[in-house]
Amino acid sequence: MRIYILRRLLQVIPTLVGTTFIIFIIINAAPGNPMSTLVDPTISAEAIERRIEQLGLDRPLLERYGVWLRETFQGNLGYSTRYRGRPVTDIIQSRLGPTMLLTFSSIFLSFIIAVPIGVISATRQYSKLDYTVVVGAIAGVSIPVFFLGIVLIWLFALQFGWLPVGGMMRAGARYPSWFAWAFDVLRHLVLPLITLTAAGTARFVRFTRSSMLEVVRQDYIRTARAKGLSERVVIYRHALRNSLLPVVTILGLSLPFLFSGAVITEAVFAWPGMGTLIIEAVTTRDYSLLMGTNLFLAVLVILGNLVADLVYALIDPRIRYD
Amino acid sequence: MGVNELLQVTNLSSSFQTEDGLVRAVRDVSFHISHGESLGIVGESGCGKSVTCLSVMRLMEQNGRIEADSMRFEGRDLLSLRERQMQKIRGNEMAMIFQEPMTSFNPVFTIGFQLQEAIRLHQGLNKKAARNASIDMLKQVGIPRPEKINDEYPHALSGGMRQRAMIAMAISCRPKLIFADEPTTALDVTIQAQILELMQKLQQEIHTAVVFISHDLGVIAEMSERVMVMYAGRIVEIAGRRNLFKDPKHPYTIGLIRSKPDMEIESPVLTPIPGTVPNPLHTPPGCPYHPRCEHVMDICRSTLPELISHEQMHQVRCWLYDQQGAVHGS
Ligand SMILES: Nc1ncnc2c1ncn2[C@@H]1O[C@H](COP(=O)(O)OP(=O)(O)O)[C@@H](O)[C@H]1O
Ligand code: SF4
Ligand SMILES: [Mg+2]
Repeated sequence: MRIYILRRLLQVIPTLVGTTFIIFIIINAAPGNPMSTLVDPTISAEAIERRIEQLGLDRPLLERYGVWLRETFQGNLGYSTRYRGRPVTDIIQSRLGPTMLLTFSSIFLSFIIAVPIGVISATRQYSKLDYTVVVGAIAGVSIPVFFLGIVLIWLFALQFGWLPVGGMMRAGARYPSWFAWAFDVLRHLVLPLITLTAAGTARFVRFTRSSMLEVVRQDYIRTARAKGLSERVVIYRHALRNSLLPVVTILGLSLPFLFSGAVITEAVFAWPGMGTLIIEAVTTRDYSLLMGTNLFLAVLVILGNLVADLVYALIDPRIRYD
Repeated sequence: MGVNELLQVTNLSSSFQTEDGLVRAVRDVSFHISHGESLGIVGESGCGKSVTCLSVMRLMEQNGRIEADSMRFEGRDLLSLRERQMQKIRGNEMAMIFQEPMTSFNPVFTIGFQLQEAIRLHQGLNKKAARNASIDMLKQVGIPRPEKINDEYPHALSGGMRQRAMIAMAISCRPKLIFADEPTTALDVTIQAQILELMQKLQQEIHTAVVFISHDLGVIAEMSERVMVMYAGRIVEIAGRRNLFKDPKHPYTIGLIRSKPDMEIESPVLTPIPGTVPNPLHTPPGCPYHPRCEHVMDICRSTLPELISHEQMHQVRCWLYDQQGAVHGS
């Protein structure tokens, strides 16, 4: 098992090099550079020229990638142009917390909402309830995240004024207590969380339902019934565990989806997380920041897969890694 | 048929609602089995053997429907019992052994856990006592190192071992009736012989009635005192083992015996039955066997023969043995 994890972690390195190289090329192939988004007309062409030279942007592509790679291996992701030379690692670190808060609470919520709905819907296949769930889930995955976000803002922030429009805290607020701070963050969290969770729940409901439908047809479910077990035990003990096996994998594999959902959600709600950061990095052609955030995403995806595999081995006795 | 029959099924019909139409899997099936008796059900695949047993245990899938005049099990009418009462019978008084040892155990629980589940449920034993009981059962079905196997997951066991464990599970609450649905079909020949031997031994030891299902007459000949032959959802012949093999009446039974390689019968030549089993959605009118029957008469094509007693305990559904049929005979 330990050797397996080690081997998987070693495989991560070539994957990351390949991924970042492709990203590097794409970023550089896109028109523009960090200077092109500066609109200050007083800066002379020579100054821009000098700056580009200073940043090393006139060097050949491969050389620049080599430098980036070398520095990255030493833990240096470079410096942001947009954030006036702040180290990229610093910026990413400061954005990690809000993103984790949003994504993980959303995954957790979607999961605990979706699993019971999926199970109940599957055990009453073709009932009115089941149809309602299926239609609801399709709606949930089809409604664009930004649209739902805007509707929610319009309704709850603008019309009713119950919740803030965006951000994570009131601007310039000073909180008398830890509790007041947490409460304010929570108020800001509600709408983005609902937005992100709606899509996540819809996805998980579909997975759980179809997985459950598959499992209840299995021979061992009939064996369990033939033993005299009650329907509840048959479903929640014998069927549920098996039907969650693939859902765990899906959970790992859908991290990128969840994350891209989070990017858009964060942008809509000005949530100060990685998503907003990525969008800033793209729009300002902040190369170091872009590479840094993309590297972070790639690591996240790869780790997500690894964790899913390990958890799978933990819950499925048939799978052993050695 | 005495009043102290263990199970008495009268006019059982089971059907499935499918996208293509109504599949009438079992039609007008009546049979009985006494305490400790062994009854065999034989017939080609798809003739309704499994559905018959699943109907009695009320384990049909959601799209299935059971109708019967009565299904009495020790005086209780199984049809009118509530699901909860049925659960007290299943696994406790009536158990089932399934065809596929590889898929009939839940892969995420240990063998012991799955045995103990039934034991704890029906016998109210605590964890420790149930564990001991389950190890005892595994020992009784000839599983080596039962303590170790008890803690293994199903995937660690061979098919033969799993089927032994399945038998252990079925007999763990000393049921009065066991349905063994092709328990050896999925196993290779040597293992098959061992499992059959084990089942015979156990049946004598614990004196349980067994309904043994197989498509293989050779296996049925070994396992059952009485044999019921099914075709297209109906019983076509019921007789004692001796009578059935010495003096088979129904052309289908005769066909089955002829197509069985190691069966001694007057004609030593192997002749498989021509044609195939009818599509359950379009069963032929009249006698469903008529498209494949060498003795087919006009009446066979239009009218279904009744199941009538030919001799004591020997019933046949065929116009050849029906007086009315004799009139029409060619
Ligand atoms: N759940 C089901 N839905 C539809 N048809 C079924 C179902 N189960 C069994 N059948 C049909 O009922 C008939 C009898 O099946 P079965 O009793 O399993 O045959 P066998 O004699 O091989 O055990 C077959 O034609 C089969 O296709
Ligand atoms: S009833 Fe007619 S067709 Fe059917 S088995 Fe008898 S002889 Fe053959
Ligand atoms: Mg069958």
